[in-house]
Amino acid sequence: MTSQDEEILNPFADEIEAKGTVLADRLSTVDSVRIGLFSNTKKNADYFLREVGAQLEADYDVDVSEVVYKDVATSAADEDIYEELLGYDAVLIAYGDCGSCSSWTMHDSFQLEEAGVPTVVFCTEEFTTLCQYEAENQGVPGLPIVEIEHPIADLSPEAVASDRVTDDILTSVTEALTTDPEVLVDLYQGKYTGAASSELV
Amino acid sequence: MSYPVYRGSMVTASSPDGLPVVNPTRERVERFLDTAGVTSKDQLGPFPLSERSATMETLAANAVMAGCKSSYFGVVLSALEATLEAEFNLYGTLATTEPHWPMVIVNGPVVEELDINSGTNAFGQGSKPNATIGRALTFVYMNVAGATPGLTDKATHGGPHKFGLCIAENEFESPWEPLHVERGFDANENTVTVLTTEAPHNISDHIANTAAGVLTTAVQSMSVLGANTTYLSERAEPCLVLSPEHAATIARDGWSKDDVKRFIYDYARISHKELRDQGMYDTQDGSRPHHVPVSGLPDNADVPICRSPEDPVVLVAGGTGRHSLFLSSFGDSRSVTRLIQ
Repeated sequence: MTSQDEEILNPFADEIEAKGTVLADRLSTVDSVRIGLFSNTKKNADYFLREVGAQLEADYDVDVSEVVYKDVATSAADEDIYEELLGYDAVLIAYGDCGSCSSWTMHDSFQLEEAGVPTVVFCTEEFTTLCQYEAENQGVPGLPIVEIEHPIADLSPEAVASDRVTDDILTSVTEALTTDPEVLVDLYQGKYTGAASSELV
Repeated sequence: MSYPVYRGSMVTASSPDGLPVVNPTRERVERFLDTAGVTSKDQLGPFPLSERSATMETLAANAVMAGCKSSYFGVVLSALEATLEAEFNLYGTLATTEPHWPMVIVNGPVVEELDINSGTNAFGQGSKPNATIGRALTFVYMNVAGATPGLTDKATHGGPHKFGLCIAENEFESPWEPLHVERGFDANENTVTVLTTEAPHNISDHIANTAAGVLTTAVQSMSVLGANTTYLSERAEPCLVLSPEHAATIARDGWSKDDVKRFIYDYARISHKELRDQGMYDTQDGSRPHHVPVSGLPDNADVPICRSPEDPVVLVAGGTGRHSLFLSSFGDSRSVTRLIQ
């Protein structure tokens, strides 16, 4: 046998565990609902969420919460935070703007979706690929990840509101909260990871 | 994003880290598993970020690629298992913009059996087990866990330790009980300890000749703005690797390892005023870690870099010379020690 004929074993794992995570049912409307704002404690996440909430309240008959914080961005929220957030009809989560905070923001979203609360995850453009990769591996390729411009941490609160909370983002939020999960798969599956796949050899 | 696809037509496996690899041919991998005595059909995992598990054959393929001898495989497997413990936070570690990555510390008779370097240049080049055990972990994190630099491994800079970092404790030159004994294992048991760390920072002290003197230099090197342990202190494990010479100076004054850890807790501190609005502590809004030591403190309070005197990880490694090392842990992660099976 020549070296050309030798079988080389695959060093990659070839099966994904069935995680069973599912998207929660979405809302029929954003009117007359209570929306929770959930910060992972990243800089300016609360200012971003407050502005999104204020604009939703201006456009719809929604009741938006004060910002709820978890203890630290680099791990999961405590159970009592999840319990509090389960009291809302939907939760907006901000945001992924670094690696570990993106991962754990996705984890928080998976927990809430599993428990039946529809979520929207905000993520800066540098981290959407990571977030969607994890959503796909968790079996929820339709999980709505709304992209915001990077960077955002060193902006003033005023600039966060004026430059980062755009009409397109608000449209994406209401769409993500009211569109059937099957349709969200069409909208989000591969949205960010598809472009990145060509970079993998 | 499609998962990396093995190209069956290739005659050379692609290199995860950019350096040449040993081709994981079926013959090599089967011989590796055979001589390692691994017959298990169990899978290990699932690994974040991919949520995939790996067979022993797949893990062996990665170890072969990394250049491991089959005798190293038990250390590799135990270290991988340890990093899958929830408190280790591999999920955050693999994706983070921080430079942190799992480091392997080996204790017990296996250190001598495998000739793992615990002495001169233990953190550097020149030792096959040190180089290839750490490298095997990195390959599994890349090939199985899906940590792809730039796409899913988002490290801003990374670091040389991400090629793989494995050391042994220099138990023979330590004046104290080794790390695994401190953690409840028998001295004759073999263990791996995994710790998320950034690259080590040198602590040079050629002058101090007392325990307090050597450790004063050490704590000044450890209490710095910008280190994760400074801000994520709730779960931080600041790691001090003392050289045998520094350890001997400290022990000569009658200090135990607990005394060393207590000194770190008491004196590796930064004032509350200096901490605020730096690093990861923002007073302008609610965006800050709510770690316990900072809550409600006056300006002049000195804040420790870990929650309790038990939290510093202290070990002895290295060779001749009056140098020690500070390794700042990821912060939101706890080290794990496991028996090597």
